[in-house]
This record gives sequence, structure tokens and C-alpha cells, in this order.
Amino acid sequence: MQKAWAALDVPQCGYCQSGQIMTAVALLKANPKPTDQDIDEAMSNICCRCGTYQRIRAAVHMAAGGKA
Amino acid sequence: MKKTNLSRRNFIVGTAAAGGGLALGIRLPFGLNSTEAKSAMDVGAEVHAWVVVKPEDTCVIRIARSEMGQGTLTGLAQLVAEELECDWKKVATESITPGQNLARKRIWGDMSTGGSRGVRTSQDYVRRGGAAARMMLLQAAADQWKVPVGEVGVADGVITHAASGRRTTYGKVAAAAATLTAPDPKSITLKDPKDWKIAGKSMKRLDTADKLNGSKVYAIDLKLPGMLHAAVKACPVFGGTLASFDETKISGRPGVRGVVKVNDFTVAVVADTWWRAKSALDALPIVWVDGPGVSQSSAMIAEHLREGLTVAGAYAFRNEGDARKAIEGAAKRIEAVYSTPFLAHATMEPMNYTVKISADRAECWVPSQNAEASLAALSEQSGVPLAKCEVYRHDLGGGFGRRGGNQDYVRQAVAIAKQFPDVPVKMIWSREEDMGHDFYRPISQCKLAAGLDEQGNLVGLHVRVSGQSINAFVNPALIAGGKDDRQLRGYTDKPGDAQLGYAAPNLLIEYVMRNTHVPVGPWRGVNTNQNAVYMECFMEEMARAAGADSLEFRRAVMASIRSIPPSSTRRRQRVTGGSRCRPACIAASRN
Repeated sequence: MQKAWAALDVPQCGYCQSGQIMTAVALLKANPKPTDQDIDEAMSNICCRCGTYQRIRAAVHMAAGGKA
Repeated sequence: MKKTNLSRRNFIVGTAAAGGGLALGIRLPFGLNSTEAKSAMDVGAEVHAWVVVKPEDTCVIRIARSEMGQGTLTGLAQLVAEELECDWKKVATESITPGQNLARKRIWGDMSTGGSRGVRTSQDYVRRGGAAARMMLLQAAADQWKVPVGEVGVADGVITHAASGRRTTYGKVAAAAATLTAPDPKSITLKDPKDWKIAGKSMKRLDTADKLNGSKVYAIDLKLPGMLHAAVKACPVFGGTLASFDETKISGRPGVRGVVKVNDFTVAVVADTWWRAKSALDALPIVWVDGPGVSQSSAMIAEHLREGLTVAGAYAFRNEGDARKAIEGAAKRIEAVYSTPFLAHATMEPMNYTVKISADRAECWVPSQNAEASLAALSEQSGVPLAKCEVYRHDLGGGFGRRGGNQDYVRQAVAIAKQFPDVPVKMIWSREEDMGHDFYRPISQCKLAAGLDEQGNLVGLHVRVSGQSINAFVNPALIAGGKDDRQLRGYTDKPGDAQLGYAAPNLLIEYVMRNTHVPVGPWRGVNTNQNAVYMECFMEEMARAAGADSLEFRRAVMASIRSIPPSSTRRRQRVTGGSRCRPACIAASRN
């Protein structure tokens, strides 16, 4: 997950990103091939004030081995 | 270039001895092995104020502006590296401090970071800094080889002399280069942007690594030996004051070290942990004097602004042709009123500040968009002279304009820490305090009226903004003759980021100032933000009323710009291009 985050330069200020990554890891453990909607639902409790949501979603897909 | 006297070198050695980096240590490039990393911690030689080169060729680029997620740190490093001709893979950065900047007569220029100006207003002189360092490094190699500097070339930090086949690296000649006098910045010819290899390219950010493993230390994470923690509460009503508090009710609670009247409207509890301070503060009986603000409501403020939409005597910011008459005589008339609320900056990292004040020294650790303003506030509030104050700026967990001009949180924490000499005190605002005591984006309403002819062409446009003024709150002197242009950013005819990209044959843009008791301040995309929303919403209304395609209607309104600014053609192309790439954009947003 961290490699995907680095590959896509996900963070801006970075303050929320540890929580985003941990939540994304938990998501993939429960659901190895999440859809966009699965990701949005699983991640919706963590706010990113910078608005990096598009890259977060792409990084989760990349870590899941799918499209980025 | 001649040898210079050693005063500058002595200074560098002196500061470097303090710990291998000016402020918070150096960000190292990705992928170093442990030996390289150890070597990278060597102090290195300051070739130029902007560039330190280490023996193993790491180029440390000094950064004066604040990083808060916007990427300025990487952007500035790219500009320096482009001229330096170093190996981008070996670039590291370090943040300068305002104390160092002051001591060196502001050699690094302005440190304030706001209004999207971090790169724009320093790009020229940081590039010159990189170029000067390159010239000095090449000169040092030429001196060593006893050849004319014109015969020496460089790529990726490797210096070569083609005629003799000799080569060396920046790291090997840096110490010698540091003794040379820097060239006059004005004499330097910068590279043509068309030849850029690093600047202007989409490079990986330099500040990502420690954001991915929890190791990044934001100011709020700071831990210092013996540190105390402060929680604060300001009067819940804006403009209200602190009457009294009963500290005997909480003085026996575990860990509580004291209760401090911070200023006329704020009280703080200091304890050995932040949670104990916050819990005790919640239990502290406080008597507030609410003041006149308590009688205000959202409905009253909305009505106050609504009146401004029709009142006589508005400031006519732009008045081209006769918009009222054109609208009145138009085949079709459209009108809309929009509003935007007060908005907190809501930085993800709440306001916080750590400070240690001794009799002859004041030091602080702060997320600040303007570290020099933080230094000034620290000195003023502590009474410690500027030269004996220092600010260690941390990268910000969000700024958005909250942490620039208003150093309110700095002053609060200093007032608290003064009661605890020689002890570091970290003040953190709760999320509730942060949302409740911001300097908000000003509230406004906007009434737009337009007239269309039989063919659906725009013949007249009237825009009136009624709302609170940032300048009236922060600096009334900026409002010359009642003309507060700042609230109309996004509607100016001057080329630039606050320009209105549309025109009408008859155009009237007005402002009515309607202030409230709520504190306001700059908020990301200052005022352009809400004014653009008003205009674009109304563009859509007009396009629909005209029965026209959204894009085609806008293109027509752009085409009618009479005094065509240089950027108008580019603007038009950009919009058209945006239309073409629309399916791709939609696809991207779904990914």
C-alpha cells in the first residue's frame, strides 16, 4: 500500500495519510478487489482536507493489483 | 572570482556545529543506502546561500517558503536544481529559519507563503542562486585544473574538461567553491525554459516518504523533555470577554499545573498531558461577558446582507456602458441571488504552538505560513529581543490562509508559556476551538442580473456583491476612499489570477460592505473562490435562458471582451481543450 501511495504521490500535506493507508490496508484484507464504491464507503470516515481522494482511490486499486 | 574573507565561512561553521542542519534536519533523497545516508549527514560546504554540497555529492537546497501540501518545497528545489545542473536523484532540502534569515540580512528573502505566491515571487532569485552555485563549483574545478572556466562543462553534478578528459564532482570541489565570491546575480544569464530538464516537469515530490510511514513530525507531534501542555478556551461569543474563573475547582486535579488568563477573552489550563489540561478546562467554572455579539443570529446577518443587494450608494468597481439600461431594454431578463457562508479553514492539524521562554532566549516550534511573522510575534509577546528569538518551522498539516497573517495562536501560547519560564509548553486547540475561533472566509451574497437579446446574446450584466470585508477587519488602511477592491477579486479586468474571464457590452460590478461581529480573514483563493462560484452559476442560468450550450455560451461571452488582454486567447483555447478532453476527465474522476 505504501508503495502504491509513493508511486502515485498521493499525499499533499500528509496529515491524514497514515489513517488513510491503515484504513486502505484493512479494506483490502476484507475485500481484496474493491470497486470504486467499496473504496468510497470504506474510506469515507477519513477526511482529507487537501482533497487527495482521487489519488487515494487510484492507489488502493493499484495496491489491489488492478487499474490505477 | 577571488578568495573572499572568511567571515561568511566562519558563520557557516558556527551554525553548522549546532547540529548538521539549520533547522529541523535535512530531508534526504530517496533510496540512499546506510553508508550514503551517514555520509549525507556530513555538514557539507555552503557554496551559496541556497546550496550546500556534501562530500558524497548530495546537494542540499535551502527552502525559505512553507510547505503545507501545495508542493512549493519540491517546486523551488526543481528551480534551483535546474540551474545548478546537479543530479536530481541526489537533491535534499532543508528549511531555513527566520532567525538565520534575520542574522544574514534576509539573504533568503521573504518567507511568507500565501496567495499562491510561494514559487511565483521567488522563482527568479532562487534560480539565480542555483546558477551562482554552479558557476562557483565550475570555477573551483577550473582553478584546480588550471584551465579557463569556459572549457569546463557539467551534467548531473559531474564536472568535465573535454580537452584533457579529466572529471570531478560537485562534492569534491564544494569546499574550494565555498571560498569563492559569488557572482553578481544580475550578471547571470538564466537558462531558457525551453531547455529545462527538471523545472516545469512533473517530478516526484521530495516530501512524500515520511508521510507514508507515520514518522513525519508535525509541530503538534513534538515532544520535548519536561514539556507541559496547554488547552485554551476563548469566549464563545465573538467580541465577548473573560470576566472570571474559579481555579480552586480544578486545582486538585491530577497533573494540573495552573490556570492562565491568556488575554481579555481567553483562558488556558496547563497540565502534564494535554488530555488532563483539556479535561480540567472543561470542568473549569468560567464567567464570560458575552457583549453585543450575543444578540446576533444567522438570520439577522443574512438580512443585513440582503439589504445591501438593493441599497443605494454601492461602490461601482467596474462600470462599462450602461448595464441597467441594457438589461431593462433586453428581450429577455434573468436574475439570481446566491450566497456563501462563513467558512472555517479547518486545517487538518489544529492550531498548535510549542514555546520555551527563558530570561534571554525564546524558541518556538510552529506550523506557520509566515515564519518571520511568527518570529516577530514571539519577540513582541515575550519581550525577548528579536535577535534572541528563534522559530523552528514545521511543515504544516494544512494552511489555507489560517496560519499566515494572524499569529493569534502564537501570541496565546507565548502568553501562557511566560508563566512557566524555562519550561517548554505546547498549546493545542481542540477541534471545537479551531472551528469556533477561526478568522473565517467572509460571508457574502451576490445578486446578478442579465439581459439577453432575441438571439440569446448577452447585452448587459450587473453583479452586486454584498458582504463582509477582510480588509475592514484586518487592515482598514488598505481600503482607499471606501473602494474595497479585494472583495471583488475574480471580477477585475486586470490580467492575472483575479481577472474576470468574461465581458459584456454593458457591465456593472458593485460592492456593498456589510460587516458583522464575526472575525474574518484570507481563505484559500481569497474571495476569487466565492465570486467565481457566483459567476459560473449565473453563466449556467444565462446559457439555459438563451437555449445555448454551456460552453458555447461562455465562448461567446469571452469573445466579446473588448480590451483583449494578452491571456484571453490562451484562456479560450484552454476552455475549448477542456471540452475536448471531457470524457477523459470523467473517466479519471471515476478511477
